[in-house]
Amino acid sequence: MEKLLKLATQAADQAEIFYNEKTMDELAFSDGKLVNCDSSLSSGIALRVIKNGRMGLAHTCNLLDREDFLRQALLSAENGMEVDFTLPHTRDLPRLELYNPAVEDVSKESLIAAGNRIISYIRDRVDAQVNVSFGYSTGSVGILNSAGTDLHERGSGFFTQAMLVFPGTGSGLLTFKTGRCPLDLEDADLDELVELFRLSKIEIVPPTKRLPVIFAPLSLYALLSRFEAAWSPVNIHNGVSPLCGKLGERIVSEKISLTREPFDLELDSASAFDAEGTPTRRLTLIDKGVFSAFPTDLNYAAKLNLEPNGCAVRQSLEWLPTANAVNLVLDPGDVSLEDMVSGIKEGILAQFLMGAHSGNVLNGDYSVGVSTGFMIENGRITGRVKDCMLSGNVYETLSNVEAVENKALNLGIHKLPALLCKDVSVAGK
Amino acid sequence: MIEKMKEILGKVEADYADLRYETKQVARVTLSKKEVRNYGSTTGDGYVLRVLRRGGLATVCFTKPEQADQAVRRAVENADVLSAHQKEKKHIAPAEVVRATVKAPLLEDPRQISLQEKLALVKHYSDLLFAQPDIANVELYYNDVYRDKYFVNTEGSEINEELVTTKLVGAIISQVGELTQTARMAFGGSDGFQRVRNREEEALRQAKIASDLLKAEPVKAGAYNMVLNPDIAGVFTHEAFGHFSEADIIRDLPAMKEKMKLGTKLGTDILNITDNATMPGQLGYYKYDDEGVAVRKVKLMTAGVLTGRLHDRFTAAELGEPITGHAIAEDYRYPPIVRMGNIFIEPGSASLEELLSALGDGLYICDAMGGQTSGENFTFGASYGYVVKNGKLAGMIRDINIMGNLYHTLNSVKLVGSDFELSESGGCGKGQTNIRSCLGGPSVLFENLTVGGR
Repeated sequence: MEKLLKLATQAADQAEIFYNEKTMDELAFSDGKLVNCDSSLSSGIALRVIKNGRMGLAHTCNLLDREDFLRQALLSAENGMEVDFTLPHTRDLPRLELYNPAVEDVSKESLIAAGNRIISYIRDRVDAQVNVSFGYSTGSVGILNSAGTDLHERGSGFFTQAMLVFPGTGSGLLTFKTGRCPLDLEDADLDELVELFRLSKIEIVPPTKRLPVIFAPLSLYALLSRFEAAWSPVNIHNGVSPLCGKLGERIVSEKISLTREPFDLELDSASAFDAEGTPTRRLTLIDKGVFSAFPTDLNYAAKLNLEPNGCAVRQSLEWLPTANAVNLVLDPGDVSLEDMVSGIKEGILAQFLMGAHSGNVLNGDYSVGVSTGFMIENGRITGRVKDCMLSGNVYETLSNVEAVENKALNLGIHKLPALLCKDVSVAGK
Repeated sequence: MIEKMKEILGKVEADYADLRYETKQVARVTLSKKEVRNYGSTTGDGYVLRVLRRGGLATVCFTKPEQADQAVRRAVENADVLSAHQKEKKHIAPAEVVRATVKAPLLEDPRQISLQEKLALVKHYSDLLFAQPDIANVELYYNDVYRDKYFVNTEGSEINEELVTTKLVGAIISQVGELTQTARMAFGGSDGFQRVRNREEEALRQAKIASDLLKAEPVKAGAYNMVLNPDIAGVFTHEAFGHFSEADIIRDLPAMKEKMKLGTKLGTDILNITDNATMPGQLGYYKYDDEGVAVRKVKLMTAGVLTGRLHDRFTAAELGEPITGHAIAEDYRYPPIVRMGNIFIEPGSASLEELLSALGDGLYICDAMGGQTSGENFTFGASYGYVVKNGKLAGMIRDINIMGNLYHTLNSVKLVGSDFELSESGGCGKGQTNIRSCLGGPSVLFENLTVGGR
């Protein structure tokens, strides 16, 4: 790796090597039966160079020929993106405990026993299809660059989840835990799942009208993805984001505060440095409803005349790093989910939404199908909603937040509480 | 390569094993608001080993050749764990032993065209689109993906097939004040670079749609009768029905398996649905799947009755149905899963005028913006549409997302058009991305689909 960096530094003005490796195991039960036990051993290297003010990239899984690999990166830089930034010299970062050796001691037999326990516990209470899965991994990432940066982090991950499938469908109810060491589902998690499953046996097509909707944590992707497009520094730089020129302005309810927390070790992407080696830091994007910051990488921070805030991510080594906010934490409020439900005369609890990727995302519009959701009538859940869509605009919907749940669920990528929003357009009967 | 792979496979003690190795080269040029964002090509390679021992089937994906022994050990251990704890053993359906080398059928090979020429073409479209009224931004993504796949199994199959996919897709964004609207263009296919040349007229048509959308009304929420044009009818077929014809989905949902038995009447008498990846030139074309099985045309629905299903060798054995050659992996990082190749409703005899006239009052919905399936429900978004009054197009509408239910919607197909088009963008994200998933069909009249709206 050092030889490659030396060669690249001689041939280009700046150079950076990003490398990673990961070992992952998965074990899955479908309908109570063990069906999968698979592994993967993956690794890769990305070489980024800057020459004559243009940026180039090459990627490989097996570094067989350094000169050829470098040639590919230099060719890419010949007509690559025009850039004007300097790779950072990053050192003396805080050491984060991202690796838990307990993951290495996981035995497949113990997971099978845990899976069978979950399945029996649920099946003793309801007659349903139960799917259970486990995944665990260890991996490392490293960055070397021509400015002298040499960073390396090792981490571990674990998830366990149980799903109850609605009969005759592929949708259902989910409970899960994610972290850096082995985790089990507790009886209380499973009891909650079983209780909701019992309520789901009655199917209701809601009326077509405006209703209060509780967006449960997993459904919030449909709303957050609209922000993701809007606060992308590329769209802000291109002047096409609805958030252009809105820094410091109130864009949603003051009940909403959203912060990037790179040092929350329970979240998957916790790290002391980002995908370009810039030190990460806590970054509040929405502060009590006010748009206060947006994620940047080195390139767009320079283009927008801002300080890079350590938000560069690589969706894969085949792509150049881009800015995005992961590890988001939405501040919990003061109302329990039970109290939210009991205060609604007629409304919907949305757990999973589908079709969130389509529609005018940049504009903030959404129009999504409810794949798992519940009808609330007179303060209680009366059944599962069928054939129902929710539509609106994220800025309008999140300006109508009536309550924020008093706890946040760790989804791995983010930590989010449920949100109760009034006046959401529902299409049903 | 084949000999090296046979050597690895020779170390596996199993009832059946296969090994796939492939290299994937992606040449990429992307432009955002006239600025080059990506330019260059990347390469990746890796192995996927599958081992079947005493009814346990395990997969290990690995990157480096020196990991082969470790991968073999792990795959055998994993297969034994499955075998010891599985109540139902896996079996593999018989398939022909194949020894073949298949070159990509290309009219104009994108690998022979320089990156500079690709960049020049993308810039040409960008300049053209930017010159149109109301256009605030144009995002263009060109890529050609070359997969060189080697497959060997313990039955003696040895296959090398290359797949070359060329695509140019774009988002054309119009803007007035704070309102932005997006129209999309997508050109490409499996038969070469010529697919992305000389498409100016269609690009301009999409720029006009993006501009017109600024004046369109958001659709009102409710249930409507509607005509879908071929592109979005294809997405309907893929989302509303196609995924449930994939045998791995049905296998994993026993209650649905009951409802989806072959011979069940699920649609109206006029509904015939086929998956045919063997049609030359279309995006989804391939010869052998990632289990080395030759792909074949499958009649999935005939006169509203389920008549076929898409399979890999394991689902075919489990369901006791014929193999079809639909085990497809995204690339060297993934084991194959059951995927659609090229799915469509067979054309009928009605012209567009006849469809709109039969519709009377309702919506005419055009061009897909993605879809998703969850259980028996599905959604899909549309680029634009029109209100139809008395069989005639009235005002343009936007922000259209449609939802339906598998069991009801196939029975709401009332009339099928005589036109027929296959999409050049396709794609599917079931667990892994399949950039060659092709779809299309004729225009189709439906009754009573739910549309979300404000």
